[in-house]
Amino acid sequence: MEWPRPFGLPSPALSVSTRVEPTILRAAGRAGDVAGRVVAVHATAVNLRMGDALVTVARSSVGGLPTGIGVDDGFAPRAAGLLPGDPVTVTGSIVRIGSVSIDLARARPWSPHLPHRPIPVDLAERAAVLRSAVEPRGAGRAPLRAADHRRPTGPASSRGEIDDVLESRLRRLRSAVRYGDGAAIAAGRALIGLGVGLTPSGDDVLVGLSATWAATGVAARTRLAAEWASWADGRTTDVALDFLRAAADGAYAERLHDALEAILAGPIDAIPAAAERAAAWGATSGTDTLRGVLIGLEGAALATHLVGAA
Amino acid sequence: MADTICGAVYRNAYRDSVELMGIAAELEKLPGIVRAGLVMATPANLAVLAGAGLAAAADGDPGPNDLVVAIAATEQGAADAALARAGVALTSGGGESGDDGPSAARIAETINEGLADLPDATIALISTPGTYATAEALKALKSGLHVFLFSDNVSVEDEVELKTLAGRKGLLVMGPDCGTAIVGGVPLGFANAVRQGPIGLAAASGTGLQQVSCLIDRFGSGVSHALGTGGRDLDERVGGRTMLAAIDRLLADPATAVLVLISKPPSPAVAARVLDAVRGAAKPVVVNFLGGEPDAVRAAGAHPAATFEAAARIATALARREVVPADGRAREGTDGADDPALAALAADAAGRLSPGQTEIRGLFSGGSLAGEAKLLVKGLLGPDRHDRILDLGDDEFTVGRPHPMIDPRLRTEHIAALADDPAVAVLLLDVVLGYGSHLDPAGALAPTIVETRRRAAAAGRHLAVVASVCGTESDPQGLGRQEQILADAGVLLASSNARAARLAAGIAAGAPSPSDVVPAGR
Repeated sequence: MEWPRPFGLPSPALSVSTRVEPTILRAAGRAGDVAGRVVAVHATAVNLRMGDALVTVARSSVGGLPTGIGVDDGFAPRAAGLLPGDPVTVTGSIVRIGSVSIDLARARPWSPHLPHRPIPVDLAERAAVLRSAVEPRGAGRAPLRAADHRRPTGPASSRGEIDDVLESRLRRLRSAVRYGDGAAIAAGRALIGLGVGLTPSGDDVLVGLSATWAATGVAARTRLAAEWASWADGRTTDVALDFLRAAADGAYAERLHDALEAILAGPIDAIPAAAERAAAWGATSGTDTLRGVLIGLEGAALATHLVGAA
Repeated sequence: MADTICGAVYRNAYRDSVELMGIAAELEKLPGIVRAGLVMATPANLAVLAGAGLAAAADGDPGPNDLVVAIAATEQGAADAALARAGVALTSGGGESGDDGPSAARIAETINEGLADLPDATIALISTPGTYATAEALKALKSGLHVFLFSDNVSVEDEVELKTLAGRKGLLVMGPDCGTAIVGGVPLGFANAVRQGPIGLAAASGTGLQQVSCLIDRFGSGVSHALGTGGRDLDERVGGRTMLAAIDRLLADPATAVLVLISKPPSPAVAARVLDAVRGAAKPVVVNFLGGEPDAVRAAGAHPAATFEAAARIATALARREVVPADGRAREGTDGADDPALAALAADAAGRLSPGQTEIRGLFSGGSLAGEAKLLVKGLLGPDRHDRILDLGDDEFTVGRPHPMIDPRLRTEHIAALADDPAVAVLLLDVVLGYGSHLDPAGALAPTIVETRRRAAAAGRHLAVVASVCGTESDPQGLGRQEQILADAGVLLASSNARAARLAAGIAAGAPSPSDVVPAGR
């Protein structure tokens, strides 16, 4: 070895979502062909467009993702020089992303599909505990502390307007889940693409709601999630669209599995801490997802009505 | 009251919401800014912008993956300033960007687009995965461009095909796996800021080229061109095609008065071909085939150089039209082989060692520098020793990690482990500066060196640390500044890699033997 090597040997992937392999196989074609492209490069993760799907390669500490590959926490895609547009090739178990190679051969398969669990008898009490951690405090929108400390202060007036619209539409969604699928579908559609960043807040809310219904076995979830994912195509960011499509397939991030396990089956006094952990996800996504969970819990309590309306 | 509404669209730009809100808040503090918003251009967000009277900002039919910057200002100048500030914030580090925004120059995505932007270009720098590199290099050659091929994992058959085509078209293929070159004063890849001058280099050795070019600069001369060939070029299968083409070019180049050829020992047939190419040349030629046989070089009328420093010194002397002795030694001496100051420094450090401390540990970031140090240490101390000189840039150490010239963490881990090894007398290091390297490699190593020496001292041992810095004062890191950081950390500095290796060997050679141990109580 005489030179600084631009391209290293494959690093072993540590975990891989069970949705990834079929996605890659669909996109791969011949060994070595370009099977996809890098669409976004983050500090700890990189998003790959492979056919219709978005595959995310992320540090394992991020937790499992619906269409994700977990790698060592030393993964630094920016430092590795990855750029949007870099080609992705697949040869056997090796996924080559620009200058980075990842070997899936020994990765632990992880299922993003949420198992059903019985609705707890104290659901209302659990929802109240979660609400006290999630709901706005005082004037305006005040998420959990974990997100609060990252939220900049200052006028940023367009944020305020988007937040105002978001609050209004959240109220509409909360009300709509009481009145059947048709109203919920419309209220959900109005949220899609609404919000400032990479995964708009409205989309995060819908994923949280859908996950809660998947975990509690609310039958209406299947139709609603499919309708929202279909509607979202072309109306939200690629990353958010992928989360909505995964939700339609019953697949959710590991952090949501953990949060719902704690909320639905853990000790009730541990819910605030679990909510705090879940809220730490992303800039505002964690809080927004929990707000969806909260609406989902209310819907789950009315599951009989929704099932009847489906 | 807003008189002006304007905006900008950044295509495929991904940012998290906190970053966008932070930028918006910053913009709203600027004079004359009434409102500012940065949102992904989803229909829902655009509707909110329209409701806020900012629809005009989202011109150009943006899509959901595009980012809109919307500004309302009291006058156009303030709006322009805010848009410019947003552009800086969005394009300077930390972002998830897929696009440099509307004000940035277009990024060419193909060689043809690049040629359209720069019709006078003469070189294509290719750094794609090896799978695509050959195709891109062929396109470049067919477009009449020389190729600097940074990519590795190009098959030897492809390398031969590329170099054969280049030969037919009178072009040069530097690489594959070529890490460094300087063409007409322009550094490519990992290169140093050396002054221009009359010495032309052709090298199948990355840090060898860097070391020789930096020493030429240090000795007061300069480099016309330094052409990398790729490490496999002097292999029998490739036949030295790029080295031979580079020799032809350098011999014909009016700016080049002296040639230096650098490589590990080539195959005998290729070596003969290379030496034939310089036999009877009108310009003096220095040949540094590391560990190679000097007589064949002399027989070709060229000057053999055993080390990188010797090559630089001889070339510099030749460029000054000084007479170089037949044994290949330039007037100033070669590489510290008979330097009394080096010997005194070695004796002083050896006197501080404890019995049992006899071994050298070399932790290198440059493969060629490690190779040179290994040869010198083995030559000076003999083969039956337990010294270990590692090239931490080798594949076995860099799987899934950045190269140690970029990221010093791998090296600091290895250095720290030496504090607990009672056999180690000397730690030998290279520090490579230049474009592409870590911006403060000495500063990144120094705390670990200090702590490791402190721990060794606490265990009753003196750990000698010897280093050379490969760089120039004009490098981004600054040679003097980097050397001072190392000196402050207690490192013994040598002016070249060869001298550092000699100093390390001198210290190890002077170490007290285990029989020098005086049992307690006597």
